[in-house]
Amino acid sequence: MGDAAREENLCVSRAAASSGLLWRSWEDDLYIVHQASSAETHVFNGPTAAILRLLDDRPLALDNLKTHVEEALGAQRGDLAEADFYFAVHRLDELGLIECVQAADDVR
Amino acid sequence: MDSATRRAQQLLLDAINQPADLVRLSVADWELLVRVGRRARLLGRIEADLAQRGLLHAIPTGAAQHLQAARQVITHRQTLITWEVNRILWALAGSATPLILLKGSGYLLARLPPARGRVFADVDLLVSEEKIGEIEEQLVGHGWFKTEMDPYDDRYYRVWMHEIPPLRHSERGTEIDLHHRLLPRTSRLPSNPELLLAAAQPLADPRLRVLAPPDMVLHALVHLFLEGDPDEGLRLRDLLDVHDLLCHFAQQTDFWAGLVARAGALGFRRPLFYGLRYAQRLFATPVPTSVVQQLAPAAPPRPLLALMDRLIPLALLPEHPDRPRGRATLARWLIYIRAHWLRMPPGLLTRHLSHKAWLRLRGVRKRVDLAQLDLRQQ
Amino acid sequence: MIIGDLARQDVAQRLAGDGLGIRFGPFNIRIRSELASFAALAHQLYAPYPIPGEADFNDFHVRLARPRGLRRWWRRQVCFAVDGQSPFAPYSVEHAFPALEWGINWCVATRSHHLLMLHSAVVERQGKAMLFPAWPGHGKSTLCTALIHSDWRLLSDEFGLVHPTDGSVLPIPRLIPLKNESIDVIRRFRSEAVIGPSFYGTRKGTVAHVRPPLDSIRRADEPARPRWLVFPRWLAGAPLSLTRMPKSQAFLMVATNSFNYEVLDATAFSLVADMVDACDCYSLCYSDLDEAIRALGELADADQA
Repeated sequence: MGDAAREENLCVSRAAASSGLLWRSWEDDLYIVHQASSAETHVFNGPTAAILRLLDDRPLALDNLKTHVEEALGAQRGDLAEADFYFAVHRLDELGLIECVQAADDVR
Repeated sequence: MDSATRRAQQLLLDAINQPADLVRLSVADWELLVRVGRRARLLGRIEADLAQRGLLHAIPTGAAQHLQAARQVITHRQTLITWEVNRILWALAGSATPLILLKGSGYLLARLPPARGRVFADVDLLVSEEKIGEIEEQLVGHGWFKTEMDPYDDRYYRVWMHEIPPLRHSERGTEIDLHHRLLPRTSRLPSNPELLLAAAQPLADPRLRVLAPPDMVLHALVHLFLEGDPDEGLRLRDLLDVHDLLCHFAQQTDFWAGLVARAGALGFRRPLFYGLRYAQRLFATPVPTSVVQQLAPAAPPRPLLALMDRLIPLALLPEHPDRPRGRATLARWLIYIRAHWLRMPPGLLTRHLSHKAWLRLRGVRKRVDLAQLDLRQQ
Repeated sequence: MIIGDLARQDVAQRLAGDGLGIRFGPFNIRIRSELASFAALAHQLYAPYPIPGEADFNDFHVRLARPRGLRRWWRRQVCFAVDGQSPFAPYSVEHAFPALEWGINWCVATRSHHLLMLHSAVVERQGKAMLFPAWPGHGKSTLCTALIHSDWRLLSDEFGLVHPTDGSVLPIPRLIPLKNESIDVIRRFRSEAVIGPSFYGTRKGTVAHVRPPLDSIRRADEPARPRWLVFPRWLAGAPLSLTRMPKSQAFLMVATNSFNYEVLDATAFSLVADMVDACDCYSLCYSDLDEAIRALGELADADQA
């Protein structure tokens, strides 16, 4: 889910393999997450954790998702660097936690 | 054979064949069973059989802890293998090439009986030979890398073998073996990958397949008899796979007739003859008399059969851990060399064995050297 | 019955026969060896350890054996073997004792997945455990040895054995292998410490084994609750510093300093997370042992108040 995904503005959702995640976080803005499907433990920063949590209820188009993440973090619109956002999305896709549903245009 | 070894082997076979009776074992018997069971990689199987009958609490705590430890490793490995297949499908999104899961990963994803309590090392895939380069490239583009090997081994793989050098994921470390046939190109036994690919059966995800029942049994036999290891000999665990598959598929009508016919078509009648013979002897596998009769002509000449009847059980069954015997070690070597003989023409075999011996002399050791490893990295 | 109840000849006889049984915390080990030098050392250093009963389950059968093949004729060597398999290259005969000690650790580390095994020293005071997860070379063994000769009980120098059902830490008070300079540091620190002979030129340099105080060995079936996670580092000339560490960092340090965190899947995640929750987490940098021990003692005293 790289540049092509950005251009097509895909819609992403939580993947089936992301069910049963165990979360822990302490005083800092780091989230330690256990993924049962892969037996892996991940460390996510605030934005990455926010992406996952925002997708809990429903799929979102990528540009929409970015705005929601900024809101959730109490940041201004556009504060989250594009590169960081797409890196997190790409990484979550690689880890099997999220997946493309279809192009956002089809959803609308 | 000394009585201690006979006792150890009988304990192991009884544990597999009559798990309900395990509750009657003494602590000393359990101790010996855990030791030989670990050696034969069957602790997980024993645990699964007891758990299924709700008997784990009826055995000595010390033994139960070792079984629990074995189950923990198995559960973990099953998660890793299932996940690796999930990620392979992700990496190959858009490709229509069917992937045939072989051996452990096939049993696991097709939910077949041999998966119960079994340790899985890698993901073994069979794909048609012309697609193999494309698949290798796609995987390498998605986080896997080609494992480094010395030029001899790489050439050995690519030129002579039935698979390409394993691919390993850069983060997860799990290995994928991509096969394009079941036997090395050099093998004296034929193998027809096209027939296998055509008969393979789809799983829930249509891109994943497993071999058709007769082919799966024949492949398990090929793996048992031809992929030995000079230290381990033949793996009892692999013969147990064959037994489990036979018992399971025998419920399908026409399975046996299909199996015998397929063995003929693929040129595997001799391995099938051996496999049924020793599965019957060790696990009392129910094989129809008519099948035994049909395979009788595939038996080797009498003196060879008499020799095999001595060597194969020696190579299959673990020794008593405190009383290693020279005979069993010799049997393992003989079977290994025989397996290589079937896989390779004799000239090449000599080259391969001498190359391996040379490597050993040059200090390439299989054993872990403590000095280079801290405990936690074991 | 303890090993010290046996005469030295009995120890040698058992070792050469069906094996000498010995209990290290939750594990019963059966040791075989025909080396006279090993029997003498085992009798001395293992004296306070219990002998399992006839009806007890032996977890590991280990052996010091002559290597097979030609090597045995031109070099005096021993192999560590477990269940008839030798996982390591042979050792010189002089290093038989450290090889066996190391081999037993290897058996525990590679086979005991019914427990979560952290790579950590663990000491206890008033039922509360202080864990020192650390990489080798950070002075974990030295600090641990000094503490257990200063009012702390030894649970383990190498293994934080965490029980999966209740998160308590199980003792496994084995001998502590000190390396190189640490041996003299401890001799100077407590002259009464029982230290075995020095083995020179092992794969880890000079090694000598400290026998834990008798109280630690006798109370090997008393678990403790994790209360502190301390990540130590010895640095020549450094002033003492004991500072709070973020818990997420502590989590990662514990999980990565573990023998089988991965193997235990979600169980391990929850156990480590609960441990980090329950513990105050510190990083400790020190050069003076007395200072470090005083600071850690104050932590424990403050927790009383």
